[in-house]
Amino acid sequence: MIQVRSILPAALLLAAIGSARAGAAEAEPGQLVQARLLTNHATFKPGSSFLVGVHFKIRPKWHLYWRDPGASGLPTEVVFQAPTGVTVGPLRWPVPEKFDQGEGLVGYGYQTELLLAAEVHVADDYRADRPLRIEAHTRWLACRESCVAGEKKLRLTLAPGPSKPGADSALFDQWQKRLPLPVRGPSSPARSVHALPGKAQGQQRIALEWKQTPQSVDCYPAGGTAAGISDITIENRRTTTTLTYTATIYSAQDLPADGRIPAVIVYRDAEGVRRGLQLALPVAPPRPAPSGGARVPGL
Amino acid sequence: MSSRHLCSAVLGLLLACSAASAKSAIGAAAPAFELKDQNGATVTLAQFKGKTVVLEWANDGCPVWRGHHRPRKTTMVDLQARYAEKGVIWLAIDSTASHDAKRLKATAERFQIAYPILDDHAGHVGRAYGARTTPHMFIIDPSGKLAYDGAIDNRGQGDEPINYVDRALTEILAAKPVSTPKTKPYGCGVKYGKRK
Repeated sequence: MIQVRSILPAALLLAAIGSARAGAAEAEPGQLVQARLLTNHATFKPGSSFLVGVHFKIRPKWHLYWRDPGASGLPTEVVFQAPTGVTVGPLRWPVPEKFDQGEGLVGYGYQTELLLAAEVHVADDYRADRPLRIEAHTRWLACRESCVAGEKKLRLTLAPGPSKPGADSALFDQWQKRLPLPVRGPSSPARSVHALPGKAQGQQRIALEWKQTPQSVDCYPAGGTAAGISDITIENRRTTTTLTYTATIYSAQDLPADGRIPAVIVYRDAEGVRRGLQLALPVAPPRPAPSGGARVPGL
Repeated sequence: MSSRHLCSAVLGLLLACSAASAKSAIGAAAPAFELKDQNGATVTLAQFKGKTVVLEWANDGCPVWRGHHRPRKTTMVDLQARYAEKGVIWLAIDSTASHDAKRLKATAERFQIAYPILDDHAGHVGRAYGARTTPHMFIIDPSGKLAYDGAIDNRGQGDEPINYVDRALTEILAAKPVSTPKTKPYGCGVKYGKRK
């Protein structure tokens, strides 16, 4: 019963408004990647927050890409649209897998399935006198040996009412556990992070102090089109990881004002569980704030 | 123990990665090549000595490369036509291991591409330049040095759309240094064959 209720409307919507596209000679992308727009709440009310997300089911052996695809590929895109008074936050990217794309080049992405979620906030003064409609436009590049592009326009509606979990809330909980942890706060596996002086021209060094000794540490940079890092070395000594790298700026204007790019430190904790830690890596000196007053937050 | 193994494996991979990208250093002499185009004619880099040459890595099986060609967009053919008038040479190179001259001829016809598409199915030229994606763009300046390596554009990301190749060509023709000589290419990975 629950399955029918959750899957059927989405399937009908897909059939009605889906607009998949692909090259003439390629496989039918509908079979390759299926995308559904889901929410963790069955209803909404003013002043509340809930999650929406696009759930991708990917044909075995194919993959979709992370926010930074690595040496080749394209980031999976989801753009949400909501009425005035309803804001949708940034995409929450689960810790990706790293794969070899041949020629010693790495890629970052997801196999089998992916939930790209975002938090929705409904303003206190939002008039909840009719269902809330949220739309998502998603585009992706699915690759195996070859690549197929896909695109879907999705939408869902939520009825006004007291907050209650929806049929897919368990799925959102499950994917929540796959998000990288923040570097600060009680849930962080890190005690501290600080920059060290580089040993060579253009070299950046960061020391990461763990609360518990990790079993392995890797770094997935997500500089996108703005900047990249190379010559990465990772040294682990008990609870200290020293990360050394050289930054290449591709497009200074696309860099955040603090001169840092997002990255995920992927590690296996003491129990061997694979996790991620969100980190901002300095690649350029911070740009002075226009007013001169803003202080650049620490790592 | 296991962490040390994994780290050295990661290190090895990353070093290999940076070695691959170091193949085509900006400001260094662009690797010479001699390849056949879709009509069987031999094309060499040396024959364009003194000219600005654009290289466009191509694969008609890649939706990202196709996205810059007819019918979706005419990014490449428009830019090629505009700069051909100013003496710029534009060459596509296909390093896909499974492609041959017959396929490239069909590609040129299907996408109405008038410029040469060079057959590099052995992958030597792609590897010499460090071509990673389709498209992946390179520009060689009139002195034969590599002046640009990266994406065709910023994918419309950022505040404004930027076509990096257009901007670099404008700068080269004005005898100015290229302001953004290296960007991150995007697209499908080049489907190289096994190394022999």
